[in-house]
Amino acid sequence: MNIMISMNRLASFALVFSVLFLVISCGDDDLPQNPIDPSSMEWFFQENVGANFIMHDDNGIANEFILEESIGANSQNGYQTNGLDADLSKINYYYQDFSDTYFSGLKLGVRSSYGSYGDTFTISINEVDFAIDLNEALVTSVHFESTYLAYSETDEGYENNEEPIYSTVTFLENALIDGVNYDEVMHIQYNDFIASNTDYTIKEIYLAKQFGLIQYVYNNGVVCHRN
Amino acid sequence: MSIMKKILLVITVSFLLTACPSPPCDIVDYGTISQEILDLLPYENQETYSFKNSGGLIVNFTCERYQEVGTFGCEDYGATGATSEHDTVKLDATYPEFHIDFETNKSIDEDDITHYIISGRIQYAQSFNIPTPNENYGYEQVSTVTINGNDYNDVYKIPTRNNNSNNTVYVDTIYYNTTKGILKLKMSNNEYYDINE
Repeated sequence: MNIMISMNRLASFALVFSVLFLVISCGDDDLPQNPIDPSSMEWFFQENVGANFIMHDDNGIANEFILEESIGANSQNGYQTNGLDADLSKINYYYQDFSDTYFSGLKLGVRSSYGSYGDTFTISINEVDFAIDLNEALVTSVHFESTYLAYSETDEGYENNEEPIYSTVTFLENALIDGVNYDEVMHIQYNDFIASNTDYTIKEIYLAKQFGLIQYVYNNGVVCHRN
Repeated sequence: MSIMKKILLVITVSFLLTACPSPPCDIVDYGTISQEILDLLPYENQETYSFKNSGGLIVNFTCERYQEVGTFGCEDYGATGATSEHDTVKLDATYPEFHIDFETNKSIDEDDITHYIISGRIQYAQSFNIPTPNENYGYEQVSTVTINGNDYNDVYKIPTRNNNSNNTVYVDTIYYNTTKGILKLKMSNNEYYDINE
């Protein structure tokens, strides 16, 4: 009888240890990776933390941007079906955070694609935030101060929840900025929350591959460009 | 002594220890800031102060000024603290976004001598001090400076301390007198902002 109880206990311990081993060994590292497309990374400032670039406005005012943080990260993403993890994968992120002379608060970021969506590029400057699907060439969310518009990601693609987003993104083969010809340029046109905009709300942003931010235009027409 | 009595004694002593107030902090009153010192910062609450950028842009700074009384130094057990008045001046511009602030603090040393420190910051990253009757910090003083077509007397050239070593574009020198306050902000890249009168 005693031998039977001991055997049962031994079996129970073995079961618990097996489950624990499986739980520990099935960590995040086994999940499929969703890498960021290398071409998405080209929209960033291609320098190390501490490096700077300077932009001048029409009045000759220099605004120095300094790369303060450059962070890569990943996280688990997915959903559950009938108790089983389905479409579980690792989403990768990369961010650049800048300080500048006059507090523009520039931040650049990218989130790797999942499902049928492309990599999402994000930019924040002067309290305007955009999220852009790089494959679809679509602004998928806009955030200005406390107001927000965003499309939902569904199996059928993006759907607008309330109001459509009027801001646009276009990709140009090249652009001439202050006498410099930049190849592969992203042009963001801000067309939302017009009633809330001020003279110094940013209405246009230009980024170039390998350079990052190269120009922005305020609502009152003042242009600030890379030197 | 029974165990119950010992427990009761421990509980009673613990209660008394926690219930006893800490000795009161001995607070010295430094009093208010003298008008002579307040006048060293010639800025008025709600007023606008105009500057002209080297590129011609007019930049208006709005002023917020207030005085507060605060007590400090009583954080430690049985400490001696002090109550004093603080004067705060904030100058803010929308474009380009500038933040300049001044803080005046008063103290009295053990020899009963009153000291004032007027500290300033620009963009939260460059710091400086405004000279007081007791302390001129060895700043260069120029008898007359012409700025934007006007002559200003007794002008201090105040170098800032840059607290962000990565910055290469920042206000490196302030021209200042006690009649008008800031007369010129000179940037490290030779841009400048002149008082616009």
